[in-house]
Amino acid sequence: MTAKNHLDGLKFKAQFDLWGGSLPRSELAWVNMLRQEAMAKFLQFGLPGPKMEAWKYTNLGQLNSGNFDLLTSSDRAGNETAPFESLDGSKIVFTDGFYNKATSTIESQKGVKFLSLNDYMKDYPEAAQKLFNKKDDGSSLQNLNTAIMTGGYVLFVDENTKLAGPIQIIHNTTTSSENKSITTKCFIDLQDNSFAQMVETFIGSDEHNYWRHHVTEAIVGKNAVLEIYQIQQESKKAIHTADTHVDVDQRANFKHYSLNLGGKISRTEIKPTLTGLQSNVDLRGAFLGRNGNSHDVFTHMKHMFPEGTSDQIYRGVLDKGGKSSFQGKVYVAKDAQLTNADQSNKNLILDRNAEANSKPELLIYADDVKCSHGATVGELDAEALYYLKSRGLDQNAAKALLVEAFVAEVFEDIKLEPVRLKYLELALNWLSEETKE
Amino acid sequence: MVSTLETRQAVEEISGEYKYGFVTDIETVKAPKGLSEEVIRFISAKKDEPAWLLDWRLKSYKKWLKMEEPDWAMLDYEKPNFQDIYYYAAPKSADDRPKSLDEVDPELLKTYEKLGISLQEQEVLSGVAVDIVFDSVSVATTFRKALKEKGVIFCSISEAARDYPALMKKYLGSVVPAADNFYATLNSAVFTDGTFVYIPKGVRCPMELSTYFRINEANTGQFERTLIIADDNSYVSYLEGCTAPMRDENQLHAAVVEIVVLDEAEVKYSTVQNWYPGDKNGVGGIYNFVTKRAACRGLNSKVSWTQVETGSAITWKYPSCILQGDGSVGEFYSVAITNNYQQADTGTKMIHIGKNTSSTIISKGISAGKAQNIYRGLVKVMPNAENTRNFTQCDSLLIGDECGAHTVPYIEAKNPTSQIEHEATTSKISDEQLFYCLQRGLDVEESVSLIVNGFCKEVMQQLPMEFAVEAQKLLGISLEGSVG
Repeated sequence: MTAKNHLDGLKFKAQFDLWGGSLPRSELAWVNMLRQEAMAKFLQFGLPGPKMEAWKYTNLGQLNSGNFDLLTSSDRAGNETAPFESLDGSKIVFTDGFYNKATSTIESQKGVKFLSLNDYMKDYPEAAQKLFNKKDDGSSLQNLNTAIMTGGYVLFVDENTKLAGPIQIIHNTTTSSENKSITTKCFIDLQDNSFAQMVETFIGSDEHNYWRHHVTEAIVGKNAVLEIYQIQQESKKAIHTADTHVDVDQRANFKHYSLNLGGKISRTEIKPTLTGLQSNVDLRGAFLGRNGNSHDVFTHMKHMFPEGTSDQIYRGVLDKGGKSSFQGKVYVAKDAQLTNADQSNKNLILDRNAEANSKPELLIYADDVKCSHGATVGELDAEALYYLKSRGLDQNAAKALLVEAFVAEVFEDIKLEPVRLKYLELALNWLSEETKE
Repeated sequence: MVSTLETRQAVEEISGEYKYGFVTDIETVKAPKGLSEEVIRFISAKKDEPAWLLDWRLKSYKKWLKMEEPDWAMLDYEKPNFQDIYYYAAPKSADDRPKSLDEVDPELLKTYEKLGISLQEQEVLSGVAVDIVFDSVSVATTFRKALKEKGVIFCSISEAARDYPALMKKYLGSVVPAADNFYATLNSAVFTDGTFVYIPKGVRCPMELSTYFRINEANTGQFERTLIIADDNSYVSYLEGCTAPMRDENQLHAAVVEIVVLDEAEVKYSTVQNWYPGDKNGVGGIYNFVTKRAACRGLNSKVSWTQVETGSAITWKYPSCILQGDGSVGEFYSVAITNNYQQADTGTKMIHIGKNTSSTIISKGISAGKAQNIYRGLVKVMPNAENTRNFTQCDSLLIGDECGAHTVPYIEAKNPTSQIEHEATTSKISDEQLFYCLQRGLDVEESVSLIVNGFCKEVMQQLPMEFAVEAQKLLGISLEGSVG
């Protein structure tokens, strides 16, 4: 039975009944069981519907009515361009949601275990079983993800170990992705005092219609640092949903950067829980939308322990036919005294046919805290524009410069230089497309 | 040392007992318990209403039967049993209305005196016309004459239905439609009385209009309906204040306020709400589920909501502005204080439809004891609303570590020329502030009251004089026992 305000999701059940047994590692009894149970849990709720508060601005109705069949294998060669030629180190590629061994390069390092999830499930079944269902937040999408996942990776970093370099994760698609669900899941576990950087790119092939659902579950140990950089350049027709769940322990540091450019519907969910004293979380992101892009960023920051700090900065630029929503929730538990939580979301609307929604939310149960949020929606500052024009820039150049500065603010504190430059380059390309029109 | 009677009384007063918790015993005429078509027909007949209004009620009732009680608010309460409520209770004299104050039931007058609003006194001294709703029927209306000279209509809504059917038919339900939401629809079906105000073209209402509400009979839902129409170039300031006797059972209050503002007109609506909030353990108290909405239909029309919410166990209230006319202005100033087990989910909606419309939202939430205080607000800009401006500021103050303060703002913009700003902060009274006050010789409660009053200053300044004094005292009283 479908829960209130949910969509039934029965097409996924039909697909699962047909193909569930052929999905990777379903031949292992425990994986098969895991998938069955997750599917049953998913069906109790169904897909989130547009009447649900958290899905107010993003309608997944298409997932329910359209056909997003399961892929049981993909043997086509992927789009092999690596987005960061300048980045050294390991690179893992998922083509249509399947681990693409041929194009991946995994460098071994002492104290680091980094491998495909499917291999991990086969080689370390007992440990692998323990990874699942730890973070059941009641979200039906997450259960669906477990039921139909086809690939992913696991990363374990031992105590006092620093990754030699950033790890690149590339999600690409081929023509087989047309009308398919592409489902990946990964796990990151950083032990105390360790350090890891992940650079994750989602690229869509041509104009294919697919649904990509990617889930990351991470644990950041004491004093450890995890940085995740995401770039979303899906196909113009794609539905993209990426969820990141992370536990941030005492004095640990979690940073998440995202740039959303593509997709018809994109939803980035980030749910950090501060599970130790003095932990710190920084979330930064920009979403640039036009021509039918609908970007939705949903954050849920949970301060459970005292003296934690969190900071969120999100910038949206919406041009003709673009739509965005930012829903940022900060929760401060009763015991999380001396929390310092900031949140800022600014949106620029460049065209009459564009829409920006913002819902910054504070839920505070502790009294000795400093929490603030700010949100604005508006056009470019007329005075700034005038100033630049008085210096000899034409309207378009002046506008582009201001928009660039507006977006660049989000990425300015990135220390990983190639990534920062990539972000800026992509944002600039997007902006120059706009001025050409 | 032996305490004198005076100090004992002072202590009793400070201990935060609800001062207005007395019950007046007057025989009342009640409709049978529960809700059915018969009860609605009974109410309508009692009111001597025209047929069209009865039809309207019955239609609303049918719609209501199909609706579900909303549960999206962050409120935790036992849902009312709608069949266990009296929907009509009028003082016995209702069939035979008093012609002057002398004819008013002396018990009633005494009640008002205890509340400090002796009618005679008000008539003579304050210049405020008072339309008192005692339970459900207006029992006395003053200053009718002075207003009539200006052409201002200020009467109960049942009278308006009889005497001004054209205005009523045109505007009733035009801002809050009969099937707007669960509680507004319930109100549309069973509203028992309320106030009707019409300010004609070009008239500046000579006095501030005021209604004191009082819930009296046990188990009586109070369903007022207020309709204010400000015609072109007119102005009115309307005050609403409430106190209710102490009861153990929760009492439901689901009012609807509709305001229509036409060209260049302005309406200022101020509320001080200090209904019974329940006792220290969260027993009893009023359920306050109110729908208030103003439509700025004309050019440059303006509406300003100011509210000081200190009472009620549960508050669910979002006074809203539909800024339809070009250049119209909406304002919302709010102080919401919750103490003990009170819960308030309150805020506003600003819907920008017309060009050059602007809105301001200033909300101050103070949470103490085990209370939950939520600001929930929407600022929406439609695609054709050029050059709209909005400024929103929501500040929350937490007193004690068992309460909660939450902010849930929604911003929805579809126009590139709009400027929307939202700011929110949450903090507590700093030790430095407290220390400074203590060091100047104030005690802790006085200090907190002073700091809280400072925190709320921007809103309190918006209140008319008559309310400002009462409201400031209320802030202090509401927070008694929350510190130390």
